[in-house]
Amino acid sequence: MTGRIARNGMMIALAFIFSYIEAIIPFHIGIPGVKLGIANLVVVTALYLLGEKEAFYISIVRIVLVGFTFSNLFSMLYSIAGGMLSFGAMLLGKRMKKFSVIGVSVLGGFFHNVGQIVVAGFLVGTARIIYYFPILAISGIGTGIIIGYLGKVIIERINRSVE
Amino acid sequence: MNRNDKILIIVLLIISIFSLGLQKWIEEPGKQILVTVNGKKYGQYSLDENQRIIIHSAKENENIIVIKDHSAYMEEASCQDLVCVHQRKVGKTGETIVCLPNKVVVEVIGGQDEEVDIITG
Repeated sequence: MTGRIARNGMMIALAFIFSYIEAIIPFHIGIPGVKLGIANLVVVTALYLLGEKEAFYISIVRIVLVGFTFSNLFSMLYSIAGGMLSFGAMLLGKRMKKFSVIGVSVLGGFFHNVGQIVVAGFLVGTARIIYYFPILAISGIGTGIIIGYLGKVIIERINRSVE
Repeated sequence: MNRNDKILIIVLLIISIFSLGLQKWIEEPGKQILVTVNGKKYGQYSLDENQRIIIHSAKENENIIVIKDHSAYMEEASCQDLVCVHQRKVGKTGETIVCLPNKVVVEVIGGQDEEVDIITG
């Protein structure tokens, strides 16, 4: 029990720091919402190493913490939608047992951005925001591949060192 | 990366590229920008004349849009994240600049009055 609390706390801290690093890197390519999503690396890894529930908690606690620390309620709402849709897609992908970590992570990246677009559409009351869909979808796939590959390496190495 | 991963990536890429193609196909140089605040129409401005538009979306919220050489960009915004200020210039129909915190949407439209579209959309 205590071990689990310590381990989950560490994972949340890691995800939190990753979000912070991402927030301080000035990365503007003219399209809102395009980012690497390094924090998702922790969620993907947790999904495989710690379990579904743990990964879910880590994901939600991270979003709330980051929301209160670095941004506002608006962005938090936005992140929660993206985060939850992304988590749901990854969970389904993992349970289907057809994809590797990379496929699961790609699903996460893609649906994270889809979720954000949907919420942004509701928030500003326009469907025009769909204009950003193609570029955000492609960037979600790209970052999903990178995060998935890194996650795969981490999961394999940790599993090996545990054995 | 296994075979299913590759199929998944390719399918998702096809969806994205298809939607991008659809957009490029329907877009054309715009004539005006339509500014909406919180889903309601705020004003329509011609892209043909260079101008500076100040938008008061709420008490203390302010966005400044600049139209120059047939394209528009957000020069200043009262929000914290300034995502809209970093966005690219827009000038083709359908292109948008969105300021989420202030709920300001700038959209490039064609020449005709799109009143009906606003009400239905």
